[in-house]
Amino acid sequence: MRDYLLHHLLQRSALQYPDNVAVIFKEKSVTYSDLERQSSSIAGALQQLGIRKGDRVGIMFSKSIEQIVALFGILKSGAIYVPLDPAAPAARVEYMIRHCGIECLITTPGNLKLLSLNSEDALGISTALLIGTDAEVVNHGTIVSKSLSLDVEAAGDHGGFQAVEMSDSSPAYILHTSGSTGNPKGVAISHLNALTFIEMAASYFDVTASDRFCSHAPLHFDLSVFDIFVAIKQGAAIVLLPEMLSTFPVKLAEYIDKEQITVWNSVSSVLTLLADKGVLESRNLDSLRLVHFSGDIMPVKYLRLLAQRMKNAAFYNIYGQTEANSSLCYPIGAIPDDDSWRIPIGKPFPNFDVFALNGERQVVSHPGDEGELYVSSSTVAYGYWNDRDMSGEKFVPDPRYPFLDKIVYKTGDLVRIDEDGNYLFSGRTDHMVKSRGYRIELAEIETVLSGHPDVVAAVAIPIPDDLVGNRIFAVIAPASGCSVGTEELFRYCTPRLPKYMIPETMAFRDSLPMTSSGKVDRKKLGEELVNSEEWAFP
Amino acid sequence: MSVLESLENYLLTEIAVGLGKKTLGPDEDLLELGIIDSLGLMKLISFMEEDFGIRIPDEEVIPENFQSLNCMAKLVELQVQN
Repeated sequence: MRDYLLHHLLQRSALQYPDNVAVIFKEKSVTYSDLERQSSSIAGALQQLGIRKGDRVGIMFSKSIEQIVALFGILKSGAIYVPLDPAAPAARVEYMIRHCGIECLITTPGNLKLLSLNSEDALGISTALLIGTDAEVVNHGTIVSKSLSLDVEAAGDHGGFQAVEMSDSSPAYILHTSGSTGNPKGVAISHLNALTFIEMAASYFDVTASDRFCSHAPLHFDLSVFDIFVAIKQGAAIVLLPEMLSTFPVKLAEYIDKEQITVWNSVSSVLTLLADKGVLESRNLDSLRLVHFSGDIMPVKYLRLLAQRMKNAAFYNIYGQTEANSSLCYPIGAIPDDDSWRIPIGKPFPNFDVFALNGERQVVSHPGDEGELYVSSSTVAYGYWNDRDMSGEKFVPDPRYPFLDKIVYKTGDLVRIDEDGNYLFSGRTDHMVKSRGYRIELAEIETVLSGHPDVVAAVAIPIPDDLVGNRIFAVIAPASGCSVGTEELFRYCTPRLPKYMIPETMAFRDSLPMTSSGKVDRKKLGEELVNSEEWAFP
Repeated sequence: MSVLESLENYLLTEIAVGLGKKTLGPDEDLLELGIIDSLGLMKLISFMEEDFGIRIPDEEVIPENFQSLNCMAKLVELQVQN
């Protein structure tokens, strides 16, 4: 029988490649048999804490071997993992804990302490499993905590772990993306959803046990699913990239060279920065055989540079969303001389059915015609956790099968087809933008800003940028008689929004320009901003 | 204003706004604190180049040179001499 749960991938690889290195972080590494054994210990400890099939377990680590061990531990216990970013504002993390009904948090003693310190209310969790060598006694009010050190964990002792039987339709993880209502929304993904993509990708990209994946994306970002599970399925090595290195392109290039990375998968902006500032000519990047970029538009001049410096790499523009995983790809062949060439998002991967509907709800089939893109595949998620209304808007019946409740994901992306049958991205049906690969609902920023007592209205304006996709600015209309300032609003946003969503600069207007239909004229504001002296564009 | 003061002032008013910090110690680890991310770093570099009339080569954009205010001030001095 085929592997039908995500942790089966690890179990099988641990039998087949027990001594292969599974995860590398700086000077430390674990083999497949270590990872298998240690994750069973975690699963046993979670079960002792009362975790059962379907429970949500928060996983809060920065990049570390412990993070990967914990992830497989949660899956083995039958629970659903919910990544919580240790760098996210405490209020956002608290929201996710409450909204997903997370009972148990698996993290380090330090992270739990920091979270408790920064939280205004008592955390909603009742238990915590703390991973670390420091046997510090942690007391956090009513939270029952248990400590586990992976270094001293006895070989063969699985902490009483009992394998859990369940089907591939069970939810495996919940990933949060920006939500237009002012709160993030949690996309619930089943084992089958994830495995459908993983199996396809492992075979499509000929991944083998000798590959070395660079894991760049944080766990709460769905690119991590490819890095972690495709590597584990094939017995390859996951080389975790320390977070700080993506800020320093010279160091990033050095790292790829030193770690002999073969598979790279990241948002485009990291690669554009690498091309622009990485001093690539001083490095040997011949180990790279596969380079995936996604999330935002890759400017052709940088792609050309990368192709020159990464001579053995095949480049792919990958298109997808958390809700349906990556559904389309465009293999880069010869790069045209024209710098204005827009790289297509390409054609569907095997086992994906992708179509676009025009305004008359007919499938677009002629080159040049525009429509909204829909994805049909076993990768399409169940919906948003604890949000029926939003799920109903985005996960809709397939209009091509009117007699069935077959669900497809409505992406909100507008596309055209070119002469070769490739899809081209042409815009959005709503106000979602990408910045540094992150999805940002402008309304989420606007809701937070408008929540300030001295603000009447706020508009977030994306300004396209070659290196990071979009830079976010905001225009604020203060309440009459109020003189709210930039600094006060930054202070207000910091505990409420992740760093990448906080507008870089804010401008103030007595009122906002309106269109004839009574909506804020975003286009006019955008043009005003780009041409105004008030805004410094470094 | 000294190099150190001017860097501190820029970081507090442009990069770390919202954290509610009033001062930055000369040896405080700004990377550890998460004050400097990739976009912040780009802005910081263009400020340093303009304000001090220097050019910072890509090779020098490494954590060792941006860890703290003191590290950045040293980098500026070195580039001024060049």
